[in-house]
Amino acid sequence: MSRPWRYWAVESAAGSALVAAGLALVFLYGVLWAGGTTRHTVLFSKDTIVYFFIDVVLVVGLQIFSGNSGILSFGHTAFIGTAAYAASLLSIDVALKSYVSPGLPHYLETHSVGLVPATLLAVALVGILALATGLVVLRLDGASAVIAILALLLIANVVFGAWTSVTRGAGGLYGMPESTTIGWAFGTAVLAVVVARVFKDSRTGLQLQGSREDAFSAAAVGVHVRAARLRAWLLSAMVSGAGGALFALKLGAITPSTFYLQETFTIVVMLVIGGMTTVSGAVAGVAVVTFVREVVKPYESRSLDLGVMHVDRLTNLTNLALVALILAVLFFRREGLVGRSELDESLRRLVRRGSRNR
Amino acid sequence: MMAVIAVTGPYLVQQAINALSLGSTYALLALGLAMLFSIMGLINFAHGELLVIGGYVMWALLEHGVPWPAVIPLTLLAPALAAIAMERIAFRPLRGASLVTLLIASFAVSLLLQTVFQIFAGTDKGIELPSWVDDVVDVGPYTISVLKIVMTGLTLLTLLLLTLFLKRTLLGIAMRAAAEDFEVTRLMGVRANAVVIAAFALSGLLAGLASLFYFTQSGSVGPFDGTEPVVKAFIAVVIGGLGSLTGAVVGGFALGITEVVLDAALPAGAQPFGTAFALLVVIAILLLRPQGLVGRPVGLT
Repeated sequence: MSRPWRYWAVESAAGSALVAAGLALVFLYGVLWAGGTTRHTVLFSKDTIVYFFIDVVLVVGLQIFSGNSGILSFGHTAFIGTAAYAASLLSIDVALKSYVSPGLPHYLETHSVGLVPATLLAVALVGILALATGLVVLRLDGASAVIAILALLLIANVVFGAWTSVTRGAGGLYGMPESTTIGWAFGTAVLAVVVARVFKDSRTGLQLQGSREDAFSAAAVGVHVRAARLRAWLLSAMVSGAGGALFALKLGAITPSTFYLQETFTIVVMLVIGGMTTVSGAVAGVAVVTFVREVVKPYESRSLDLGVMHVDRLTNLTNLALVALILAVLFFRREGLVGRSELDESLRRLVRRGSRNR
Repeated sequence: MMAVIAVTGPYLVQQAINALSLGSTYALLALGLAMLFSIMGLINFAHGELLVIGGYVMWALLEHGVPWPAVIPLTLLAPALAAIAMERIAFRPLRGASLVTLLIASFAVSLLLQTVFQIFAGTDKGIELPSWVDDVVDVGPYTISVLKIVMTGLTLLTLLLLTLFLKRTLLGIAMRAAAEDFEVTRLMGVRANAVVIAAFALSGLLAGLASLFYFTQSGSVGPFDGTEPVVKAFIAVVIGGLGSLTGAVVGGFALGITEVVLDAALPAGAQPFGTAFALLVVIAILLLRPQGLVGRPVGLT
């Protein structure tokens, strides 16, 4: 049949498989070498690997919308947070629930579910919210859209903080079972990569990328830009939601500030460093940031003597490293480390060029 | 009947001053943001940190016993200098870059400054305020803060001066032209750097004034104090209509009025959600007028 089908069947599969193979190597490392939770003998603890997979889900989730549409979303953390709160409320032990969250409806207060149903329900809830918000904010374009989407994050933050009878306000929720295993995190990360790549190569995905380059031209050749954006928004929010649910059920305790600008910045940096237009770029960005973070973190507790003043603790030194990294990428390699073509596409081009030379 | 008017009259005056003074801070910040956006397409996240720099300068000077007549100009000046430095270091290499690139860069600068504040200043610093900030005038059974009246007055004066600058001086006219079309303005022989630096300096100056207002009310300054006001100012810019300076001022006051009205109208149980309701109102406005209250229709939708 026509080219798009070949794209979907072969190229998406090949592309996802390459990234998934990379993730599988990390998974093997996590299972075989990085046993335990301490980092005495290995650079990356098993926990770090689990958070790496969760970050892959979150960043790939954001890539689905922002990478294809070109509208950078600072609002996805709202979806991540909503899913995290929902999954937490669904899975806190029944004995603890009425104490932690007395405002819950009776049925929810007396029932708890495991990781998988909690995640699925959280994703469904986020889907509904994404549809409702998307219908509104995606009517806007350009900078107005960026700011309206940011407003969603603010609204979510206010609700997490103010709905004290359910969310416990600024104190946050605790007592969730830490049920996100490395296996579930890895599996979800692979699923997210496949979903993102298949969407990117799909009809809607290609139309959306067209609108990213030139929205007016895309509309002129019959692309319904707003509908394409809405589909991406929905899918993207749901993938982010899955990541948020896993995140909460790994952390075991969350507060409103867990899902605010700091988290947003980290996710955006991961996406942009690797290159937001590609799925492999998103994953590569997570890998680079995770690596840098692990290297820099031990220095945060150091003190610094500048002669004129003494600093007890280099609080958030990791942030400085991330800022340096992101500014370097913006100054010298604006399309991100991976660039505009997926890894498999670049690889194929390389092989083709190699065989031609021979 | 008369009694109702006697009570509501002063009450309305009090609430109106509350709304106008809150709106003043938003309008000053929004104006600075709109200026940068219209000239170079930058949504400046780091604008809030300019506000905080003003706050820290105020705190440091007062700690060292510097008198108020010296504190005020220095608090105005410091954010302006910081804004110029910010332009030179972070934004000049990115001139002409896309909206998204500039946005991420400004987000990074914002985080950078927050982290620097965290490392070097640590926790919140209490600002020692003179007693006159608490002065009030009585209007019937209600009191109105003198500071808020002064703030509103000063903001209006600043807006007047700024309008004169933009309409009457060569640099002001060049800036307005650049906001319409930067390339053509350059072809007319206007130096790009002059316009951009002036825009950053002015936006910093406005942030400095906002900083005086904001921190004399809050009484303390912390590393993350810039986030909330700047996001509110973003919203104000969007309500007014992106790229329109008049719109930014209108949006700032509109947001201030919305918040004060909601604050008075919401039942006690819903008070903590005030900001969320205000944002919902804003989004509703945008649904009806995606181009904002003052702006012209642009874009796809």
